[in-house]
Amino acid sequence: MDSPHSLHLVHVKLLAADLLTLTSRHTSPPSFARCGRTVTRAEIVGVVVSRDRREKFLRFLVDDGTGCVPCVLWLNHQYLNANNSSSRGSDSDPTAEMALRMSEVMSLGTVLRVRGRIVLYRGAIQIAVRDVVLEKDPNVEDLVLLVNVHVIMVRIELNMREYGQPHYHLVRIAIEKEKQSNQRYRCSMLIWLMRTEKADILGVQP
Amino acid sequence: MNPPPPPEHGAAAAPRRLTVGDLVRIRRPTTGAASLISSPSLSTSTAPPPRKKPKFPPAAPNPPPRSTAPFAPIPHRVLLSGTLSLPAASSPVACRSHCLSLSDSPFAADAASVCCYLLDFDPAAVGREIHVLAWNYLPSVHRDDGVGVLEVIRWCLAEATPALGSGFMRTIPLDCADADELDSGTYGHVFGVVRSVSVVFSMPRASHKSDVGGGDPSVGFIAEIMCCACRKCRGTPPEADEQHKFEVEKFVYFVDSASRWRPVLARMVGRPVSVSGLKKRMVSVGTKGSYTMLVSTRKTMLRWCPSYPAVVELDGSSGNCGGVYAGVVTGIYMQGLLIELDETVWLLLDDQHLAPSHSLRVGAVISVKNGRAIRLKFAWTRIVLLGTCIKTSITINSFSLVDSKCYIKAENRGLLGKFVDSFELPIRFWMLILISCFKQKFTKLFSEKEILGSKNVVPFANFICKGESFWILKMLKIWNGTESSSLPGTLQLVDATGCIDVVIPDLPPNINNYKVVLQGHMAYLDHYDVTDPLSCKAAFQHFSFRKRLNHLKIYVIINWSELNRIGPSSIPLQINTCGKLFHLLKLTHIYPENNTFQHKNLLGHSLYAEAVILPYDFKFTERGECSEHAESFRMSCTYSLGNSKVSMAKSCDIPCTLSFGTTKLYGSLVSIYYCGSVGERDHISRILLEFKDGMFNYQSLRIGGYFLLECPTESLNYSMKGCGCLQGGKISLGSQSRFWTLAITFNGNTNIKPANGDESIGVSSVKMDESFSRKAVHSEIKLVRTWNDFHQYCDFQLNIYCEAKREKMEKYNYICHVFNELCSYSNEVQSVSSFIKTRVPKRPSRSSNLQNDKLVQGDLISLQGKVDNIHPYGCKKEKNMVGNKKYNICIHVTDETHMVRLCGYVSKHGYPVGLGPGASVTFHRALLTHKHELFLTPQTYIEMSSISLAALNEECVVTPLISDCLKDGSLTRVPSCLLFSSQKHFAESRAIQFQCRVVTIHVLVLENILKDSQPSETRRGTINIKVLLAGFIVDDGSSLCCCWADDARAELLLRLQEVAIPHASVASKFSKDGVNIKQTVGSFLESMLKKHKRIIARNCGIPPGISCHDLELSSALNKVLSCLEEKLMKFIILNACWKGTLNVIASALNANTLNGFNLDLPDLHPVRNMPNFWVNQAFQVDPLDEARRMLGMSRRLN
Repeated sequence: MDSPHSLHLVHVKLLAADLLTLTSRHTSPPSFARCGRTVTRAEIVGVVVSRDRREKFLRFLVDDGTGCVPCVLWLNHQYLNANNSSSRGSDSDPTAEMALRMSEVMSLGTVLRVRGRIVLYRGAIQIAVRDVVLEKDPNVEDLVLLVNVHVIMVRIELNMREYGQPHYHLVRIAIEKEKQSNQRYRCSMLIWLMRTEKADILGVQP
Repeated sequence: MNPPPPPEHGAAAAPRRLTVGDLVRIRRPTTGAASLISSPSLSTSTAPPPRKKPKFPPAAPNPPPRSTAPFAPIPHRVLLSGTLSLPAASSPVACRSHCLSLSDSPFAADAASVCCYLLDFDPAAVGREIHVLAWNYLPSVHRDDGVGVLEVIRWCLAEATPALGSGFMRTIPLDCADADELDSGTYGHVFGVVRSVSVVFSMPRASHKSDVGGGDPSVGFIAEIMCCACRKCRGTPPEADEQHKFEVEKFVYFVDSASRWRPVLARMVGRPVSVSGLKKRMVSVGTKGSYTMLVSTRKTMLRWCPSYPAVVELDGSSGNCGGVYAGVVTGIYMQGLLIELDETVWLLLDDQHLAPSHSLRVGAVISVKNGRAIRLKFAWTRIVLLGTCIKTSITINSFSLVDSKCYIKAENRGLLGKFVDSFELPIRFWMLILISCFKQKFTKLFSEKEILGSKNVVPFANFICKGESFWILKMLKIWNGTESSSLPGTLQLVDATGCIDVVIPDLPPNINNYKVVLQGHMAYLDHYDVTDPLSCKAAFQHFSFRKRLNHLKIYVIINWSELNRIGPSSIPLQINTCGKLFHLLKLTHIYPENNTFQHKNLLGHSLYAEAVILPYDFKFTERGECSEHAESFRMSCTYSLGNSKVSMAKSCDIPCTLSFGTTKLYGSLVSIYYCGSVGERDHISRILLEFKDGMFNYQSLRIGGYFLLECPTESLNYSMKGCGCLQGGKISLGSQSRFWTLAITFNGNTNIKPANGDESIGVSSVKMDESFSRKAVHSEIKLVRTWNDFHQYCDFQLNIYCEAKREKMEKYNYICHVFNELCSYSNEVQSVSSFIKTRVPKRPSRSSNLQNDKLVQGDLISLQGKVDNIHPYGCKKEKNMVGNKKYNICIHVTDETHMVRLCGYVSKHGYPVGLGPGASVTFHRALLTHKHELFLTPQTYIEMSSISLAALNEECVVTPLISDCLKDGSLTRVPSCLLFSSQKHFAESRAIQFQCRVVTIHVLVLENILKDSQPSETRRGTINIKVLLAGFIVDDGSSLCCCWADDARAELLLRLQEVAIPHASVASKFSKDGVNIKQTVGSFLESMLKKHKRIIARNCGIPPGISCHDLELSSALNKVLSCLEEKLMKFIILNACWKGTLNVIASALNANTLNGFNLDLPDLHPVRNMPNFWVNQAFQVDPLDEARRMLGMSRRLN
């Protein structure tokens, strides 16, 4: 069974580039791994760049600047519930209503925060949407990127506290890692942080 | 002289009109526009007050624009207008090929004209009045250069009247004399696309018969026009609907007055024009032959086709002058000779007239047509070079506002310039780099004569910085033309810009193999911003070395075998044996380089070591001959050997040999004490060795090694005090001192085995060292020889041998005993493991007193091991001593089984070269405190045995930081994604703040707070329900936890206040009484709770999944919830789970506390193991604030 600290249950905040490069394990249902940890759910923030509404689902693409994540929002709850004879009031399940309402709000160009389960569809990673939040503040996107880099920084920091490692050394390793995984956006963010705000924390004299 | 007057505030409708006359009176770079997007509204008495608190107090009317920007903006709207014409003869030379002229109506009182350059040039504007909508004005710095230059960014025609001529071709109203009397039949004409336009040049006129040798040279330019060869076009003016094929190349020479048309024609490159009124001339070019050329006449007319699309057919193949390149000017060097575009391409501007020099500023976007691009590959970099030729035309696409300085100097070429011009393009560029590098590199060191002929030009400063930025380990050969320098202990390669420390691991013949080692932190990782110091840009920029000096320690590891030029290595084996005494010393310690000593000695650096004097001097047994082929020297010692422990009244004569190479000299050891004068006996004491001018090979010193010092005096007093070598407990050694390393063997054996033979004496580290060397991997560079090697390569070998006589045996045994005793004067070097096994805490006798003084007590020990890691230690700011920086560092030393830490300050100078992970190090005199802690003291000498190459190749050499380290300040705000994965945060009871999203609801207890009697109207605006308790499963992106809340906090987490209309079917039911349909979820709940008093919702689903089927709803009154009510509850819960991120301040909660609520909590496995928190506060996330805080937080942490 999963430990309470497993990433299995949580919606891991990922950038699209990271999400789309998760390694899929050949299990049933397929599971995904990042840095050796299993990731099954994800949260991404980005702009809706494509929208394809069908009868039973809405397919859309969320672009966060590092990549485009295909998402699918199922709108066929009522069908599912119709099969489920035990449920009461299945004619109007609130889940279905909320999903429907969300599909209407979600238009091209809106910034969304999408949570859901990571699934494989025709060999490609996509998100089976659990919920969608409309982000009205455009700064959210930048914050997400910043948080992503910040997490690295904090990890470095904690690492340093625990093991007494010199920070720049770890940042260097972090940057090298990002370089290796070709994550230029984060690499350059790190470098930017190193040069500006973070210069002192990294022990780098600006 | 004055800037334009302030605008009238009332008249905001029309921009103030500006004449050219007004413009030329401006004396600083200025920008202006006819419409300002964000013009401040000054008369706003009726306007509503601004919503946000204004940052600045209301300004005084029309504050003068103060800015450090190169261009001062005119704060109000101005409309500049004037007539566009060909440049006036008075305009600057640089402008005449590119610019037009904007002038006031000649009837105006102070009519003036200004040179102007237009973006989006349209030939239709020539000769007409235009409105300049946006512009920059650059007044000329020198009065004689004319009035200045107007850069027109946007413009429009003042009147939309059609231009001269109609139909397909339109005449450009240039100053042709008889434009109307055009007769195309009489004169030749061409119709075609302008391919290239030359610069205006002057040419001596061919001498006319009538006018021999006289007249001005003809001034003009040549335009290359690709003409349509069809019959129609040749004969008559061209027409629109024809399919023209521009295939025939023709040259038109615009001469004399038509030479002024160049600005127009230069902008027509790639566009079709028709030139009429030309005559044919034969032009002979030297001996190469003659060509037909069309020459302009007074009747020449230029026409263009507004409707015809621009045909840009440029031959972009490499090597040809036909490429087009557009880019941003990122640097201008060598007085405008070199222009860097997009930080990648170098434009070599041969002719200063090729471009409008005033607009060719850093930041401008230019396009180079008919340029020639070539790739250049140098040993250290590759560049793209854009060469220009006569065909090249450079136009400005966008002006620069970041720079107003004009770099390009008018032609004033020295001889060197002309010399450089004679080269091919790549060589020309190379020469320019060379000149620039030489300027930097050798300004102080060499005369120009010496500079010429050197092959190596990269300045060290650039080289070092290159290393700093990129951690390169390979470099071109840069050794020629360098000198070795004078810093003690290190050998350095120096040029005028920088120096490099050199470590030479072995002595004895050309440098092919070496490594550059960089130690330090990553200050120059950012190669996105920092210029490559080895780039051409850096070579031209005159790099500041001083600024970057202190970041990294860089040294080069070269085998001596690779060096052929550096260092005097004369091994001083010319011993004069005549009556000289040689003192014997054993080195017990070397003091680290320390500036506190050094700054007292103004004459030079001194280095210090500690030694003990052996109670014997060496003397050759025979006198008067040089030692070279001496066979037997023997000296009878008539003095007795004395010692504190053993008194020998007899004369001592200990035979020994001193050998070097194959030469063996006989001598004897003489006791330094007189026989019988026991009372005056010196004790074996520690003395200080001072190496005065630093020329001594400090690296050959070795703790535990023996040294032979030639006594410079003629004294027969054997004691050092007596002979005068030792003064004030110190022996000063200068460059003249004769001081050699010595290996002492007993009967040919390094490990002395004394007569009583119960213990092995000699240098205890010998064994250590050997075992260590066996482990030594091939990828190590040895900086210190093994003791075996050390003995083998010592300058001299002193062998004390035992003669078979009994009396001699005693002496021999005694001397062995003395040497044995000496061992106690230097610490035994311990390995990490043996240190760990043997360290026994010694309780200080007066610890209580000393603790108050904060004095650290302990023993000085010597420790050997491999450096595992080095990092900064402690939180104090670095201590600044006089001219000396100290780093507080912590070194982890290991011997593969154990690891110990050494902490303490190391001065910048005492920091040994090569100290980094993987290095084998011996710490001499490290302090072991009674608390079992190891400290580096100012005395501690760090001896580097070897440097690990493997570690070097990993680019992870670590040196101490010059920075603060983190304070032990606590995290009050927990960074996202790390909250629950780091246990320690919630183990503490204090509140923490984190961001999370509600995933599901665990339990929800809602209660009605209204008494039945209380009318709901009295509490309008608030919700009359109470969230008694709510348990939320929240997700911060790294794990799940359970957050408990009540009241308002829970309401916020539930988002009850938000306007959310459930599905129409729900809404209609709850708003029967005609209440506003825009009711909140909360108000629906209110009516529901009136009925049920209390509703409890339990989620039996496994989080993070949320399904309505897993929700169990129950009423306190045991009433059955209606289908609608159930749906509403489910909707509320779903609504809460479908929302964004919240900031939560919470403290850890003991799960038992919840028992007080008497709730039947769903016992679900994942929830059971989740940490519980009590929410103290919940609020929305402001992304902007959050981002700012995030950046600020790390600073606060520090």
